[in-house]
Amino acid sequence: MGYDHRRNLDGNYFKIFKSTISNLSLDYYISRINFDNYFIYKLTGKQREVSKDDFLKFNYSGYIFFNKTIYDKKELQQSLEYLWSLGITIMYLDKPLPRLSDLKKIKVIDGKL
Amino acid sequence: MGNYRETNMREFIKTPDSLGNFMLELSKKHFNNVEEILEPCAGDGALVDIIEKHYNVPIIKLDIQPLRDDIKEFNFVKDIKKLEYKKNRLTIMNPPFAKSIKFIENALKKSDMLVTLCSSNTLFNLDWDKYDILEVYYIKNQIFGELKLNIGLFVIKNKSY
Repeated sequence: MGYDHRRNLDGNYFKIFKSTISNLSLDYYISRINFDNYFIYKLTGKQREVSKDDFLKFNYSGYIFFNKTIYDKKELQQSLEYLWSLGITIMYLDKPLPRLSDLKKIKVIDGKL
Repeated sequence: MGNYRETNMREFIKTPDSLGNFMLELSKKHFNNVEEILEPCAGDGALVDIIEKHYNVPIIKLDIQPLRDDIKEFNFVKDIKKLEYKKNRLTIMNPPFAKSIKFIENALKKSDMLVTLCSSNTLFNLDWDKYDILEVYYIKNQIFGELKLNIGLFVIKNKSY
């Protein structure tokens, strides 16, 4: 079991996840990421921000890094909380979310139409 | 995920009538100048049959592997450049969920109005700033044959339209 990533490690956002087909160690990534430039969210479950130390423990299947100068942490959190308020969970937080909390456009239908 | 055609395992999820009728209600609500309709993943024509009950305009019926004679074989991902854009064209579709984003992007290159089903994750992976998002539905526990899925539904138009 190793670690893999998607998108450039110095890009606007990228993710790192456990992989059965990769031989790369976590050390490979630690030396290549400027942690000061990013805030980190866990990819799965109830997504939330984690610290660098949490990331290094790698207790979950993957993490997504957002560049602090480009993405607004508060806006992301508000969008997630808006979805949760509708009973919607995102399986994988793969990329930045639209400004869902501002737009408030999603209507939920439960059950067969 | 989904049902698969026996011949080559392509994803095939038939649109239930109730869901198709709901899509057509939304298209009637938002778009009143439709001159042509595009259904690019028509499959066995289930959605086409519903469209014909609501609109009396020409329908372009396409599918990568048509299951009916009136549907033309066409790869909406690879052959998209062969299809001309037409003003006042509406696309209505239930695309393969694994390719929802690509189908939505291509549909809005060839038409200005779109009503589409998609995977629930596509709701959050599409670039909302790029288009005029008119309505968004998250439909829980929708029945597709033997499957029960959470799905998305978009009503979109191009910003330039």
